[in-house]
Amino acid sequence: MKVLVFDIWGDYGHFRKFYTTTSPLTFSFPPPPTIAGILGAIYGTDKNSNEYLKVFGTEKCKIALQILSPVKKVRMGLNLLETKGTNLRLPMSDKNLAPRTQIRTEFLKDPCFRIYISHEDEQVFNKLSEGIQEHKSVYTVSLGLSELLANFKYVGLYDSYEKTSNKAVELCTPVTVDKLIEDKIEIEQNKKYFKEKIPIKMNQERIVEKYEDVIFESDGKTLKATVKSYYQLEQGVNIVFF
Amino acid sequence: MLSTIKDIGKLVADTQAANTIEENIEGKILFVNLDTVKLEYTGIEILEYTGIEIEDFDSDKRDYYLYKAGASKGNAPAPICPITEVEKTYKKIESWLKQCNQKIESWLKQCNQKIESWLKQCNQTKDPLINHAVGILSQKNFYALYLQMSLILYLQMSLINHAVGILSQRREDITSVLDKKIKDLPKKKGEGRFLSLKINKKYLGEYDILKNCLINLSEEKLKRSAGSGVCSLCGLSDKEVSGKTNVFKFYTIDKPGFITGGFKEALAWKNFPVCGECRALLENGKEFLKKKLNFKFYGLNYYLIPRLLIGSKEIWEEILNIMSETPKTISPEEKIKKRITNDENEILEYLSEKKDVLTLNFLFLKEEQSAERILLLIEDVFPSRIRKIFDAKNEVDELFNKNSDEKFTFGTIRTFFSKSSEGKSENDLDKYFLDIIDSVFKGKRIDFNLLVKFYMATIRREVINEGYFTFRVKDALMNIKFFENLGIITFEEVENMEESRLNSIFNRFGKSLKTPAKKGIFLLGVLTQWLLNKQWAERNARPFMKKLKGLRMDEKDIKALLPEVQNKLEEYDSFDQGKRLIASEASTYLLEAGDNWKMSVDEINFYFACGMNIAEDVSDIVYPNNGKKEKEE
Repeated sequence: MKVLVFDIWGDYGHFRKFYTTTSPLTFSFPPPPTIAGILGAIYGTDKNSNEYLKVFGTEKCKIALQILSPVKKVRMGLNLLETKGTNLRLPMSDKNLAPRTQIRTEFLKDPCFRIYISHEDEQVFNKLSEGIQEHKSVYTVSLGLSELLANFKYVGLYDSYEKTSNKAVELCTPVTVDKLIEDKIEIEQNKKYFKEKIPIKMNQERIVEKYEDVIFESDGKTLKATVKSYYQLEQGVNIVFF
Repeated sequence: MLSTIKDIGKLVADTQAANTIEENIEGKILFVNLDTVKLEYTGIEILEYTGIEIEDFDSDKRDYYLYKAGASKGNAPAPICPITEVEKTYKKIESWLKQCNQKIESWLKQCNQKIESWLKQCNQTKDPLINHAVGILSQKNFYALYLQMSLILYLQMSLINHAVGILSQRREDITSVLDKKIKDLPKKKGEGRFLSLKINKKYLGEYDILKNCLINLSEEKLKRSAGSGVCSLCGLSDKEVSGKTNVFKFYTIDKPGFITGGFKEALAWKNFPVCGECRALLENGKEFLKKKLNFKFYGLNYYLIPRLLIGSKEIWEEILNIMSETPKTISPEEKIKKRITNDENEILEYLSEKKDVLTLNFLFLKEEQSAERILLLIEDVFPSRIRKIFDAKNEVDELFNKNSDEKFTFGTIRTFFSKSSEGKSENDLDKYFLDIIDSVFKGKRIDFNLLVKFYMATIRREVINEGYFTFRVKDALMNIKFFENLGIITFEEVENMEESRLNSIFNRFGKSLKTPAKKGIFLLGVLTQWLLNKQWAERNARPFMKKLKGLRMDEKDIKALLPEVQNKLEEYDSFDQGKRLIASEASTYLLEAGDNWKMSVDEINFYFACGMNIAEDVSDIVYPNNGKKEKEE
C-alpha cells in the first residue's frame, strides 16, 4: 500500500476539545476529521456540503499522525464577537453587553506534525500527492482556526506493509486503545504518556460516529505497544492508522 | 478528562461512597403556607394565604422539599431556593409553579385529545353491532379511566392555578412579611436560608403531580437539544443524546456563537453528545470530586482528578479509595512536615509514592455567576514528577531552612505573584502564578527575566516600606533554587573562574551567580550593607540609602557606586582589611565582566539586594574571630 507522507507546522494551533466552550482547551494534535479538513483544503473539496468528510473519511482514507515537536500549550485571551441576546446583529444595541467578549483560549505553541495518508481512490490520492509535492492548495491551510496559518512540506511516497505481531513494537504514531491487545503498552522511563478521547469518525452531517481514547507520547517519542496490526513503511518506520 | 470523571461517577455509584457524598445542609426553610379555608358567610372553601412557617432544614426530607443542590442558580425557577433577595427568590418559586401549571394544562390537553381521537375511532367502525359493543364496553372504561384522569388533572391544575394566583396577588404582603421574618431570624455562620411553599400543610414533594412536573421539566430542558447518535463519553451508538449536559459550566451553549456548525441550538447535540446515563454518572463524579478531591491552593480552587493510563476496575477502586480516605489517615504532624500547598488535606506527598500507571490532572476552576472558567488544566502529571518536586523542595529546605520551622511551599512562590500592588483588592497576578505552577508540574522552562521583575517589585516595596526585606530576598532565593533543582531555569555560566574563599556562599546560589558581573554586583551589595550598618551604628540613620536609587540602579550606577562606598567607609574610618578584601574581589569581578553586561535593571538590583541580605553570612567568613562585631555594627 502506498503511503503519502508530509509535514505540517505553524506558530500556533488550536483544536478545540468538544466539551469546552467558555474556556476552550485544545487537543494535543488534530483528530482525524480535522486532518480530513486539512486534506480537503489542499485537495479543494466543496466547502458547503462538507465533502471533505466524504472524500477523506475513514472508509476510504487511512490517516495516521506523528508528533514531531514536543506538545507545548499556552493560554491567551481571544477577543470574540459577543453573540448573546440581541448583540449578534446589532453589536451595540444592548447597553449591558459589550460587542466583544474575551475568552481565554488554550493554544498549541510551535506545533509540527507528520501526516501519513493512504487512499483507496488512486485519482484522489495522486491529485493530493501532486498538490502537496508542488506546495499548492486550493484553500488556505490552517491549524484549527483560520487565523492560525500552517505551512506544509512533502516528505515522500512510500510503500508500506501490514504486519501483525504478538510482541511489542516501536510505534511512532499515537495509538487508539481499541487497537491494543489486552491494554499492552510498555511504560518506559523518560517518556511522557498522555491519554485523550478524540473524535475518530465524522459523517457529512458533522455527526461524530466514533470516539476513541488515544495514547501518545507528548514529546513525540515512540511508543512500545502490542497492537492488533500495524504498517511498516519501507524505511522501517512503524505506524498505526486511526 | 470528562470520561475520567464519568468513570469516577460510575465507581462511586457502585460503591458505598455514593451514600456519603450527599452534603449535610444546615439552615432554616421559610414556608409560605397556602391552606383551604371556609368562607364564613357563603361556606365556600377556597385556598388562602395563611402565614409563614419556619422549619429547620432536614436533609432526610430533601425529596419532600424537591430540593436539588444548585438547581436554582441564576434565574432558574425552582420549588425551593436559597434566599438571596426576597423579591427575586419569591419570583423563582412563583415562576416554577407557573411552569408546573402550564405542564399540567398540556397534559390535560393531551388527555382530552386522546379521548377525542378514541371517540372518532369508535365512530368510524362500519359494523353497527361491533360499533355498539365496542362503544359500550370502551365507553365505560373511557369514562372510568380517562374522565377520572382528566378530572384529577383538572382539579390539580385548578389547585395550582389558585396557588399561583394568590402568590402573584399577595406578592407585596407576603414578601414584606418574609422580609421582616428574615431580619428577626438570628443567623449562625454557615447556616442557609431557603424559601418554599406548603399547600394544605403538605410539602410540594408530597404532591405526585408536582414531583412528575419537576422530572418532566428538567428532561424537557435536555430534550431541547437532543438527537440520536453516539455518546461522546461511553461511545455507544443509537442513544438519545443531548447537547445540554449542564454538569460542568465550562461547556455552555447559551450563546449561538458557541454552537459550531450553524449556531442552531436544536443541533447542538452534535457538538457534545451525552446520553442520559452518562450525564447522571458525570454529575455523580462531579459531586464526588467536589466533596473529596477539591483542594485549596492559595486563594484558588482545584480538583485533583486521577486517571489511569491503562488498568482494570480493581486498580481504579483502590486508587480512588486511597485518594478519598488518605487525608484523614495522615497524622497532623506528618502533614505539616510534608505539605507543599496550604491545604491541610493535601495528599500530593502520598501520591508521589505511587507507580506511574496513575496520572493526575489538576483542574483549576473559577466560578463566575452561573458559568465556570478553566483557569488552568495541568494534564497527566505522573507520581514520579511529584516525587521530583518534593525532592527539589527538600533540597531547598536543607539549604535554607535547616533550623527553621518555616518550610518552602508554593506559598513562597505566591508571595511574589498575588497582587501587583498592595492597594489592589483582588489578586491580579493569578495568571502568572498558574503559569509557574504549570511549568513546575510539567517541567516547562521559565524565563528568569520575568521572575526577577516580580521579585524586584516586591523587594523594592519592602525596602521602601522598611518591611520584611530580608525575608523576601530569602524567599526569592529559595524560589530560584527550587526552579533550578527542577531544571526549569538555567543561567549563563562562565567556566574556570578563580577560586574564592567566598565559594561556599556562592555555591548556595547554585548556578545563578556563575558570572563575574553577578559576583561583582553581589559583593558590592555586601559592602554597601556593611556601610549602612556602620551608619546606623554611628548615627542611627542610613543616609547612604539614598544613593541606591530605590534599587533601580543600572550598570553605570553600579560601577560608580564602588568608589563611593569605599570612600564613605574610609570617612567612617572603617575600611579595614576584611572590607578591603571584599572591595578588591568586587572590583576584580567587575573589571573582569567588562562592559555591556546584558542584564536588565531588575536583574542587576536583584543580585545587589542578595548581597545586602547575605552580608551577615559573609562577615562570618571574612571576620571569623570578630564577626560578631560586624554584625552588631
